[in-house]
Amino acid sequence: MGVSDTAGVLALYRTMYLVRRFEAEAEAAHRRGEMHLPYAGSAGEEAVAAGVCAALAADDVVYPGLRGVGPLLAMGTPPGPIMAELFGRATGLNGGKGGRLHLVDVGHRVMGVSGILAATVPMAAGHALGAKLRGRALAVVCFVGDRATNQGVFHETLNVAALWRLPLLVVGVNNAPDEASAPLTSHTAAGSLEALARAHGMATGSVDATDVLAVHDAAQSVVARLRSGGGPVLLECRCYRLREPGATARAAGESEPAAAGPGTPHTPGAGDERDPLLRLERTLAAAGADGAAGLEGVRRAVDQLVAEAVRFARESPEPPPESAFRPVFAE
Amino acid sequence: MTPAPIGEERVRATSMGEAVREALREELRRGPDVVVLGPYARGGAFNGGITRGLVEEFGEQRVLDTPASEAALAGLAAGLAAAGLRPFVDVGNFGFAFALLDQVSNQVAKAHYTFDGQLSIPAVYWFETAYRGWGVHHSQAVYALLAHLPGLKLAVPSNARDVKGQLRQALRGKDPVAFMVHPELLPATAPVEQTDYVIRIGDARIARAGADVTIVTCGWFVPRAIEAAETLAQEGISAEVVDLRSLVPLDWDVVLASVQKTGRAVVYDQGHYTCGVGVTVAAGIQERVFHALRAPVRVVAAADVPIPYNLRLEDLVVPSTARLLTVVREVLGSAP
Repeated sequence: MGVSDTAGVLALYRTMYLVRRFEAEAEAAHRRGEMHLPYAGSAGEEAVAAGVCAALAADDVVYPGLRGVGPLLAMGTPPGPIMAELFGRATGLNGGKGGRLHLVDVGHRVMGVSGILAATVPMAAGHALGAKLRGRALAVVCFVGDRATNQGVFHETLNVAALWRLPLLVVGVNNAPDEASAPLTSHTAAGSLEALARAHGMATGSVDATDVLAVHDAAQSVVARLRSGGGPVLLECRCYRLREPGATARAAGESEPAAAGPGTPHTPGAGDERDPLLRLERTLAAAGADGAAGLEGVRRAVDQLVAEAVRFARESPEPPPESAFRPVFAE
Repeated sequence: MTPAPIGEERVRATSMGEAVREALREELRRGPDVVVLGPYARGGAFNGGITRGLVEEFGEQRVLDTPASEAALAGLAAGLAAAGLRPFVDVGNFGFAFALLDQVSNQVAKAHYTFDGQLSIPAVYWFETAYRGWGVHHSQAVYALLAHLPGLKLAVPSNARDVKGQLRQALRGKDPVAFMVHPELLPATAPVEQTDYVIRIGDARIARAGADVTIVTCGWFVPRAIEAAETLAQEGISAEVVDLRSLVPLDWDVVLASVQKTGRAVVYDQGHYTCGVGVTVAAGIQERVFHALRAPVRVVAAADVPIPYNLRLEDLVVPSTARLLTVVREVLGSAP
């Protein structure tokens, strides 16, 4: 897909806005008590999933890691079953047995969301190995947050991926720049995710992930390289976790403060200069695509879609009791 | 057994290691999706020879030498299986299992359930359970560690015939399977049919028929229990030996039917006592067929201490056949 045209750029905006709205509504649902597990969103990082997933072809596979909603929506999973899964309902992606930390949609080639940091990185590499052994030209993408790169299995896998030249794109989401409360340098002496990957003989790139077009371009060239047999790449995506002013609340079990709250999910055309949505809105407005056929129309349609997803989740039945005991085995 | 027709070998004495190698070779030939991988898979020098000769026959695309990165290796296999391939992972000694437990327990075993049947990960993990005399890391057979992970099947074969049928089943089935096999079993030979039989993981067998007491065991302890039963036979005690063959699923039907017949049970477990497989089987027996019992169910398991290096000390911790014999005699003595 090209993004030189306005329609392509609008599609990227739609994905980012969908993720932003969806996550704001998920958090609101938790605050209303409709969802028992606190929601942890990715506000400010939407350009990563949107830009990377738009660069993929029909066979490519995604392993989202810890925060799966962005990649799922970017890969085309309908919002209703995702929201229903967060609500723990029978109509959820995983029948209400997975929840936020275990969202998988094989039909849309979204494989591993895991509650354990970096745990899906070797699985993604194994998937890439499988493709390579079968002689299939496809790319496997895994997303990791900067904290996940402190896990041993991350390093074991990068070594193997580089050694065997696997068609693997590791998207390193560095949302902890120097001015953050817990910057990358507070837990990683090497100072950058690129430096970690280079130590394993892996090719790297770095991109300003407040610019979805830049992310898309970078991902597209990496994916082309992977399909033509080039070795694996770590793409460091530098971005900022957006938060409400003064927000310090931590969701239970989360290592970082909660993302931007539902009260101000996004005010079009205004807000934090590092907001990837704001940045693209300015680009599109300058191109005259801010009306009903552009930004405004996209937002109206997405708002409705997300509202429907919440209604779908709310009205869906609880899983039947017998589903608690199956399916442990396939046979 | 029916004699083999001239010119056709129908049953052949095969060592357990050879049976594993034959099963791997047959499955590698059978379909292009089977791959063998591990830090020692290529040479076959440190794994009892179970992969010897495979790389020469199938090449490095099917038999992969991997770095000694157990956690990544377990996850790579999971990804291979998710991509539709059939990996056999020769992990090596069970002491390495602790390094890959997140992958096997959190990612692999739970996938089918967590994703509501959308994604299953039929990877096969091969562990050698214990090297005698190697000390605390290499000499442990902590069956319960893997048996306590819903979603992972656990095969604990004791002989060439069973391992071949179970391995075929594992590499053709849809679920993840771990094998825990004691390396001292690998050289032992048994008659193996030269047919494409499979053995369902979850089926126990009667390894030796008897009438007075049931000894329930698995793996390396099966030949030891049979040896003990022969000794008991000389004393006029008829012991039945149940070889569980797999711990997950556990074949309660065979266990309970045997105990209902004999009225007495001793569980002989190479693993540690507390929260172990032995106490689980004992609990299940008394819970389900209490009224058939003529004596309390006993458990003969490893002590709750690490396995020491010194061979005499190891024999005090890992229960000997002498200890089994003592307990069986006590059980018979306590009968009404």
